[in-house]
Order: sequence, then C-alpha cells, then structure tokens
Amino acid sequence: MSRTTWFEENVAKALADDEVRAAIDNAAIKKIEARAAAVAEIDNFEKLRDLARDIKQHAVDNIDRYLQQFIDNVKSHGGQVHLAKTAADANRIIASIARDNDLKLAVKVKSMTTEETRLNEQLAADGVRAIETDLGEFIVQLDHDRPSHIVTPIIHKNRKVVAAAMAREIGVEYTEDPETLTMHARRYLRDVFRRCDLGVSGVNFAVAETGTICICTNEGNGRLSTTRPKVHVALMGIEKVIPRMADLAVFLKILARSSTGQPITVYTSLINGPKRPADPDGPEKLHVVILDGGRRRIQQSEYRDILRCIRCGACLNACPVYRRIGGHAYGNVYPGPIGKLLAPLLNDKTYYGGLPQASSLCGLCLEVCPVRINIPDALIRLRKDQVRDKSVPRLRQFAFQWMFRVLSSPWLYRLGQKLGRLGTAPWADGEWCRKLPGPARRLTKFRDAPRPAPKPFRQLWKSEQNRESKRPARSKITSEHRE
Amino acid sequence: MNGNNTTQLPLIDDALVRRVDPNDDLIAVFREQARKVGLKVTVTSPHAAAEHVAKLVRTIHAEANAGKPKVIIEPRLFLREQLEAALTNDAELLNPRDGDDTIFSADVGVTSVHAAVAETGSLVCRSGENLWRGLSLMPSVHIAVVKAAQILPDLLDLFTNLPAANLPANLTLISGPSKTADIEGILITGVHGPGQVHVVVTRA
Amino acid sequence: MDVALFVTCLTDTLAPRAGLAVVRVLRRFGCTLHFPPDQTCCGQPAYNNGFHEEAAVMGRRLIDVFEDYERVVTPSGSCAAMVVHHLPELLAADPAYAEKSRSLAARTWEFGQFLDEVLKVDMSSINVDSSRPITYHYSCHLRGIVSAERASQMVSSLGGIDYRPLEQLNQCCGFGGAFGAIYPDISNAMTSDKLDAIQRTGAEIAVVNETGCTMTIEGAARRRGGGVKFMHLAEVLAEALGLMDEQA
Repeated sequence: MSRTTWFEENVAKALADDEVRAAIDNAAIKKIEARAAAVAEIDNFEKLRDLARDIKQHAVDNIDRYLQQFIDNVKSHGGQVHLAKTAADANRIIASIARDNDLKLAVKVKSMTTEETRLNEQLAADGVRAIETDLGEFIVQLDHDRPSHIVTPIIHKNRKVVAAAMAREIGVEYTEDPETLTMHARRYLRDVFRRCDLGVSGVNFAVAETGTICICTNEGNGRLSTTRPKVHVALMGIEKVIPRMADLAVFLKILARSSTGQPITVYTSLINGPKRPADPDGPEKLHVVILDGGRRRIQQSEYRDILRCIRCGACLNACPVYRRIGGHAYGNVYPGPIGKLLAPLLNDKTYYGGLPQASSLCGLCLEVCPVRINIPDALIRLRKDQVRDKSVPRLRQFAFQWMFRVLSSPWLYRLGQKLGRLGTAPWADGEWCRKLPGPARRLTKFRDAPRPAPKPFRQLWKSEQNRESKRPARSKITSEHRE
Repeated sequence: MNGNNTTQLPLIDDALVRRVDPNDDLIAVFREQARKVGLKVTVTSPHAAAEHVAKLVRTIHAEANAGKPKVIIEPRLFLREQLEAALTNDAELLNPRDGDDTIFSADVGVTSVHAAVAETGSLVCRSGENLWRGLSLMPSVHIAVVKAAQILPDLLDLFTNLPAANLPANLTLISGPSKTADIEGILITGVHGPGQVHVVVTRA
Repeated sequence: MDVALFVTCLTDTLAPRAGLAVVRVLRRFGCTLHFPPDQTCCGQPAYNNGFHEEAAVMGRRLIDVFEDYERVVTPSGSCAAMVVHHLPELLAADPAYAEKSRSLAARTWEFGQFLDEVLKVDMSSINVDSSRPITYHYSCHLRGIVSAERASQMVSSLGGIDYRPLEQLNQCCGFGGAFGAIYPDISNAMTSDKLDAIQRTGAEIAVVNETGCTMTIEGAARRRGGGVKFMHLAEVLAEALGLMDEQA
C-alpha cells in the first residue's frame, strides 16, 4: 500500500483536469513563442544575459553593502524603511502603518511577495479592506482563489469562470465578453481608486545608488495605487536590490521580453520617496518594508545563485512539468522551476521534499532564464542534500544503492544483465513487458518496459570482432563520404 | 560561499547594451518603436502643433459620444495658450487645480514630457511643481507633446543621465496604452490607464 | 584513427543493435574500434539523483577504463554530457582524478557530433530510402554538446530523405531517469504529447539518439499502436550503407 503525498494528489488532480491543463499549456506556449520572437530582435541577447547574470550575482554577493546604500538613499528622499525578518513581521509592520495612519481602504498592486506573506489576510483581520487592482489578481480575489503563475495569475481560468465570479461578487450583469468584463472591473476599481487611502505594491528592482523603487506594470493600476492614496507601502525581498541606475537599462531590456515577449512593460515607474512639497499629487508617505523571510539563509548557502531571479516567469512557461500540472499543484506561491527551488529553501524542506524529483532535468528553464540560473544543477544539489539528510524514501534509497552497486562492478553488471533477461521472462511480450510486478509496477503503468536484450552489445562485440578478423581487407570509404 | 564577496561590479559595455545610436534618425526610430507598442505618433512643426492637438481632440470627440470632451491641459505645457485658443469652442477646459474629481472626470489629458526614448518608443513623464502624475493616467486619452530634441536614443541614455542627486519623486516611462491579456490571453486596452495615447512630436 | 567505444549501460543492455551500428559505421569511415570490456556506467543516474559519492566512484572507474584511448565515442548525448561537463565538476577537488577527468572530457564525443566535427562526414552523400518518411527527436541532454539546429540538420540533409520536421522537437519525452518512475503520470503526459507530435508528422521512422528516450516513447507507442519505427541515427546510416545485412 503506497502512501501518496499532498503533492502527488495535486498532480493527479491537475492532470485529470483537461480543460485547465489545455488553458495553461496554450498560454505557456504562446509566451515562449513571443519570447523567442522578442529576443531575436536583440543582436547581443546572449551576452546581455551574461551581463545581467553578472550584475545580479554581484549584487547578491554583496547584498549587505547594497541594501545599506539603498536604505540610506530612500531615507534621504523622505521615505521610511522597515526591516522584516519573517513574513509575519512584514505583515505586522504594514498593519501597524495602516493603524498609525488610520487607513481603511488599501489598493494592492500585484506583488508575489505580498502573496508569500499573505498580507491581505492580516490586513483583513485588522479591519483594513485590501482590494487587488491588477485585473487577474482582482479576479483571483473575487473568486477566493490563488494565482497559478507569477506573472499571469489566471491562465487557469476561462472567461466563463471570470464572468461567474464578477456577476456573483460585484453584481454586474453576466457576460462572457472579455472587453465588457474588463470595463466592469475598470469602473468598479475606479471608484475604489477614488476612495483609497493606502497603496501596497511590490518592487521589481530597488536601486541602491539612488534609493529608487522600480515597478513594472501594464494596466495602470500600479501607477494609480502608488499615486492616489496618501500612504504608499512597498514590500520587497532583500534580493531585489541592484547596484546602479544604469543597471536598470540592462534589466529593462530583458525582463519583459523574457516574460511576455513585449519589448518593455507599458509602465515603468521609478519612485524616489514620497511626494515633494511642490508636487500637486502623489503619496504623502512612502514606507519600504524589506523582507528576509529565509532569503538571507539562502544567500549564505551554496544556493545563493537562485537569488538572481528577477521573477520574469519564463521558466514556468518553458517547463514541461509546469505546463501540465499548473501553478496550484506546487502548493506554494512560487510555482514552476524556480518554485521547486524557492519552496523547499524558503520553507520546510521536508514538506516540499517531493518537488526536487518532479523534474526530468530537461534544461529548458536554463535555456530561457534571463539571468542564467542553473536550475537543473540546483535541483541536483537539492537531491544531494536529501541523500545527505537521509530523507530519500526507503524503498527508493534501497533500489538506487543496489543499482549503483551493480553498475560499479563489471561482473555484477554482467550478471545483472543476465538476471534481468531471465527475470522479466514471466511478464514478457516478445522483447517488452506489459506489466511488471510489485514496486516495479510503476514502470509499466503507462508504457511497456523493454527487456534486457537476449545478447547485450558486449556479446555482439565478440562475434563482431571474429567476423571482422575473418574478413579480407575491405574497401574503407575514407574520402567518398567526406565533406 | 558565505557572507559578502568582493567580486567586481561588472562594467556596462555601451557597445554591448546600446541598441540605438545617437547618430541614428531618432525621430524615425521613435516613431517606429512607438507605433509597435501602440502609441499613435505624428510629427509636425512647432507652429502647427497646437492646431494638430486640437484636431486630435476634435477627432477623438467625434468618435466618442455626444457632448464636448473634457480636456485638461498641463499648466506648464508650452503650447497651452495656443491650444486653449484653438479648443475654445470644441472642448470644455478643466483646471487640474480644482482637485481629484476634476481629473477623474476628464476625457483627455494633454501633457509635456521630461524625455522620450527612441529604442522602446517610450514617453518619460515626471512629477514636480505643476506637473500632475494624474494627467497622463486618469483620462482615457493621453496626448503627449514631445520636442524632437527631447528624444533620447537608448534606455542607456536615460538611465545614465538621470541626476542622482535631484531625482523627482516619480518618473514614469509610458510605453503604450494601458493593456492586459489576463482573460484567456486576449489583449484589451484601456484597463486602468489611458486606452489611447497620442504623441505629437514637434520638429524644429 | 583509433576510437574507443563507450557503449553505455542502457545501450549495451537494451539497444545493442544501435551499438553495433555505431561500430560498423565508424569502421566504414576508417576508424579502428576498441571496446574496453570492463566499462559499465558513467555515473549519470547516481549524479542526477544526488548520490554524488557513488557517482564519483563510477566516474573514476570510467576514467580508468578509458585512460589509454585517444578518442572515446558514445551513442548517448546524456552520457557524453556527463563525461564532458559533470564529471570534471564532480571530481574537481579530487587530486588524483581532477586532471584525468578533464582529459577524458576533452577526448569524448557523442556519435553524431563525432561524425560531424571530427570525421566531417557529408550526410547528403549517404542515401536513405525516400519511400520511408523520417522525423527526428532532439534529446534534452544533447544540450551543451550539439545544438538542436545542427543535430536536426544532420538528419534532414541525408541524401534523398523525405524529412518530416517534428513540432517542438526539443520538448522532453518524459524519461528523465528516475523521474519517469517517481512521477509516471506527469512523465506519461509528456510522452503522450511527444508521441502525438511524432504521429502527426506521418513519419515511418523516428530517429532518436538516446536509449532512454527510445524506450520511453516506444514503450508508450506499443500501448497506443501505430507503426512508427524508432532508430538511432547510427542504425539509419548503417542500413543506408548496407552494413546491417549481416548479423553479428
């Protein structure tokens, strides 16, 4: 009787939902094709990726220096800075900012970090109504759901589901027309933008040199949310910091192209503190909350390279596993290839122990990552940790160790080939097995398993050598087929 | 592997990163890239600019519903007086100093820019004295007036020349009309920001 | 030219005909073949699954077995990648084997890569049966050894070929070593899509140069039916050159 984990259950459920699977797969393929077209427009794209990798690696390597510089510069613009060790700390800080300023209605710009800390729940508990304003996140909120992708949150939903959620929650007439649905959302949220007093956003890049917060968006809600309310709170992980303004030029040239295939997002907001006295509009106060949340531990480990991530989502779009199981299956706010690393490393490694093996190491993620994070290599490192920590399931451990023992000894190996041939005979259908018994059953769940050949190559070699030595000097085609 | 490292901060090689050269025809490049991201660009002489903007407003109004369009012209815009004159009969001119509700109710916002970037077809708008962020954000139509000399070749030029000591509270690159593809990947414009962005480039 | 064959544990055990074809093709192009009999495995399964001590043991063995050979050719891209990229990383801190691992890496080639880069074979001069359409699947771990463009070009430029390009040819087949056994459902979803794509080409022969991929896709094809034949490039070339008429 095998024990299935929560992850395996999620996977089974996801694979059974053909409609959602198709929606996610199609969305991912479109974005990968768009990415390919967009990067083809840049002559030096590969070298640009190298530069982006090097800049981010340097920033992560020197994170304290740049964080301090960033903090000093934010303060010099009149912004306030708070350090949060844990997700709960971050939520507490933001809730107390709301309390201190008597803020009741918060508008939220899409931010994975706020999803990570579950900020909305904390705010709700404190009597602050927080409304997501990014269309996809707004719909996620209306539908009491979670996003399934770090950039495009509702690729798992079709228009019918969206229509139902909007009719149900904000009382508009049921329509499946995306344009009308969007206009409904616009009208509803415009009213919210008029009345809001707190704006919460994430940060795409935090520029140390100037204390600038850079936010990349497309709809306009990012700008409205950081302009309209009297207080703006920006939550960022420590790894968002980059050294110079000039680095923004590099990252902005590759972020949107990698993410959705656009040359650049519609809006790129550079925020330097709250409004100046002479500014006619803008927030009166800016609070930047800098979250550790387990990132510092990663920075001090051999996994530091994964902090280069700029959250473009390209690895999700490229991943054959993500495309088939979707974002919810991972049980974490960060799904996909980067999520397989962040989930165990930021949280409980044991709870997420099933994730590192959920990869064929195909390497498509590494192919598309704008900052060249070697995700397959990092997955192997996580697996190595599991072996070291003895957290590999016992049967699997046993099977592996025997396999390696056999493969390390020529005579055991040859014996293994013979035993494999004999041992599969009872279940054989010619050179294949339809169904293997016991734990080996998994190998034949969906496909026939090949039997070891009656004569392995090494036996054929011997006869081949005999044949070769008996043959008269043969004409060797040395030049006929050469270029 | 622990703590901080002393690797060198990588230099940004201009030749590697730059995609548009100062010697390129910047107006042509800007026009093409802006068109690609959905901005509608026209190039005029400075004398014709005000009338051209006025014509845009009249055309937009004609395509929309009845009633005069409500237009807010940025107080600092160099074309302001000419434009107000040209639009006297065709638009209801609102004053942004009247407050938020006024800006929310405007159909068209006409602004200057701090700069433009040819490489990405971007407008760069900043906050400051008498510079409302809302004018390029709340109305459903945004008309930006760009002087040709304001067009920078490449993103590199923008980011390496910002005065670190004197940055505005907000500097926003606008590279298209507001859009989303969240519902089934279908592209829809005018979500929260302006659904139409027109750029009038005045060439001296 | 002396060439030592690293046949790989999977090809040796499950697809010996491919190994035979490699031998016969290389001999036809003037190589003298050697087969060190004590070879077993490059250590890739151990390496990929985090058993790095065991992988190092296998890696050292492999290095010892092939120490005296000038050139090593293997029919598997993933084993080539293991030897060329991962063994040197794995053994970088081993004073006895660091240099040797780099040396082996520098003289190991994947079969198609060897034909292309060393023997410089002109594929268009080898004529295949035009009446049997052929498609090609690019195996994931050939990444870093030969590009998808080059690898598919080598097949598509065969003389007289009715070549059917495979949609998304570089998508993983779902094998992934232990992955296929640990998450058979996800693996099968990937294999199913790969098989769909192959069947959509209308090809009668699918060239797959990785025993792991072949056993996965062919194993699934047997459940589904449909008569695509899976062959290693070496087998296609060997048959075209009339080298497979005799049994070993």
